[in-house]
Amino acid sequence: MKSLTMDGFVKVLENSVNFAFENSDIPNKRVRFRWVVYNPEYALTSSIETLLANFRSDQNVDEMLNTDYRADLGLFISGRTYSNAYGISDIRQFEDPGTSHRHAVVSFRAMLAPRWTLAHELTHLLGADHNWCDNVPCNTCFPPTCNERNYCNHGYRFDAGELERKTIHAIINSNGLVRILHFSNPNVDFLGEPTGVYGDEPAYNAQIIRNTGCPVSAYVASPEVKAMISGPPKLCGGINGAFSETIYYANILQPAQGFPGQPPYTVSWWWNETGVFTYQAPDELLGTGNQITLTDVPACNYFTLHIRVRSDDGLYFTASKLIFTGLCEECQEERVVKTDDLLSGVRAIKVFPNPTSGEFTVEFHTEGEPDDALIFISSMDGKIRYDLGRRLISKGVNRILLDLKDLPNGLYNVHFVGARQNFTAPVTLQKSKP
Amino acid sequence: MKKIALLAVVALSIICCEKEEVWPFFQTWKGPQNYGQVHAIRNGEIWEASASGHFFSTSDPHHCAISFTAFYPDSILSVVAESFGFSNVPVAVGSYKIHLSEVLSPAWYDSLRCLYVLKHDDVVITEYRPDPNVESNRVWVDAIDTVAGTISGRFDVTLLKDPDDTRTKFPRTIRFQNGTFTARHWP
Ligand SMILES: [Zn+2]
Repeated sequence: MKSLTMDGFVKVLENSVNFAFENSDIPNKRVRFRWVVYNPEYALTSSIETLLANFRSDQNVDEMLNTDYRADLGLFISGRTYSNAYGISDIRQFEDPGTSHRHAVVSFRAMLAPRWTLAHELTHLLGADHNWCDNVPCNTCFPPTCNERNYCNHGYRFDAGELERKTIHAIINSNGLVRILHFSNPNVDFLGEPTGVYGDEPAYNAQIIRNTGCPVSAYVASPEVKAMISGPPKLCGGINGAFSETIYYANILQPAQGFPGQPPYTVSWWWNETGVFTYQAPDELLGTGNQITLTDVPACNYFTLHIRVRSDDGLYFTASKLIFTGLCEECQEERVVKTDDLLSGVRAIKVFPNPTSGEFTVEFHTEGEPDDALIFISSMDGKIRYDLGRRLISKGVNRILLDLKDLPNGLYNVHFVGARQNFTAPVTLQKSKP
Repeated sequence: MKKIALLAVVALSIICCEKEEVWPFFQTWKGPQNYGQVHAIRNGEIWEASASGHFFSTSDPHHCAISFTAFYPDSILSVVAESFGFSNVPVAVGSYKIHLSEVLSPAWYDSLRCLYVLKHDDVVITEYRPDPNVESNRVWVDAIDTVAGTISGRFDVTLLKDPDDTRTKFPRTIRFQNGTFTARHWP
């Protein structure tokens, strides 16, 4: 069996966070990881608290984050194990903590499934917090700090599919291992149950990550200019599938002084169905400016919204956003089957092997009557790389064999869009060198 | 102009008269004692926690670390509330002075140091480090049992809250007196 390279492994770690963002409806937020082998002056010690204190005060680390890598956050992946801890994190608790709250430590043993400790520690640095005191039976209330600490939202536990489910920031012990790769969000369901709640004590970590993503990404100016499109990832999300006018915004993160891509910027907005833009027909120009208002549904099932940005110094850069329209009223008659008990309860989604050198299988279990689903594969920039069209999804276990061998190495998402259920599964393509 | 100056003085005096709010420490459960225990007087009250040691390090066999952990009570999940401990303790019977520097530095990395952290599971709420003005901060190693893999001793240490933490209102100073511990090696 081919062993995974460090680069590949770090990509999988990175994707675990980005996949959680996607699952939780946190649009236009992505983390990018760079890794470096680091032998600090201090020992890794048996105390994870001491390691974090050392890491936080380490001037070499500051230098690496601020200058060498221009990184906003620093994660120390320790090869040691620690009693009573898989990780430790400072937490972003203030409106503007500056860069004093940008450090976390994760033990090598538990970064990915089933604890998702890396995504957990990293997003504490974005302000996400544990489940509320009364979201029993885990979080012990500790007045008077309980309300002091919680300036926004929290993790969540709930019952779904006959099991108690825990979002990434719900506390678990060493026996209750399994978390779902979701941040709490009252608007996103898991097996038919909402993954968060509104109210005086909201469980809505997705919201806080949406809010803090941009300020945290401004901790250190990147050498690269970056553009993002913000706005809803699907149109007509309401009960009847009615369309309402929707605004999308161009977010441009300026590069550090002296790097190309300086403001002011001119932005043009485009859309098409392929995700590959040449700025001529069939690509359609929607308008110019820092925002665009969609006044109708451009295409059924999905389309790609795209911005092309020109900086003052003549650099062109782009951003794309894949938008689902399959729920829109005007797209309903295109569906083959249209009943209320279509494909529901997609569960036990497995992708194997992952990473893959080309062929891989997506396996999942569904309940309810057969349904057809659109299946396509996108790259991380939102472009559709493979469109497999409609496939019949039957009740029970479904296995679909897919092949990425013609695509370059990297990360891809497999999308299943059914009438009532959709899901996205990440897959890493890592072809061995010829 | 005069009026403005007067107003400013009044506002200041009101702030000065306000009694500073101090939060109590968390209610804690001392946790499982299968790797050891610690007992001390913290700011005049009894404080207990579980203990574990880490010695037999291949890279540094002459030093060990001793960790104390207390948990939130009534929690089936053992959520960590406090973590306290000493690092770079010589594995030899004796009396040792704790490094007195508030500033974390390479000198601190190599010296006998101590750190007390208030936590919620993996989240740091605030940190305390040894008070650099208290010369008597000390840890005593009284016995080492290489067969059982245990170390026991005493400590007396005064710590100051992280000066950068202006938000939490836990006591600025913590004094641990008459601390006694026994800790078994945690692998
Ligand atoms: Zn946590």
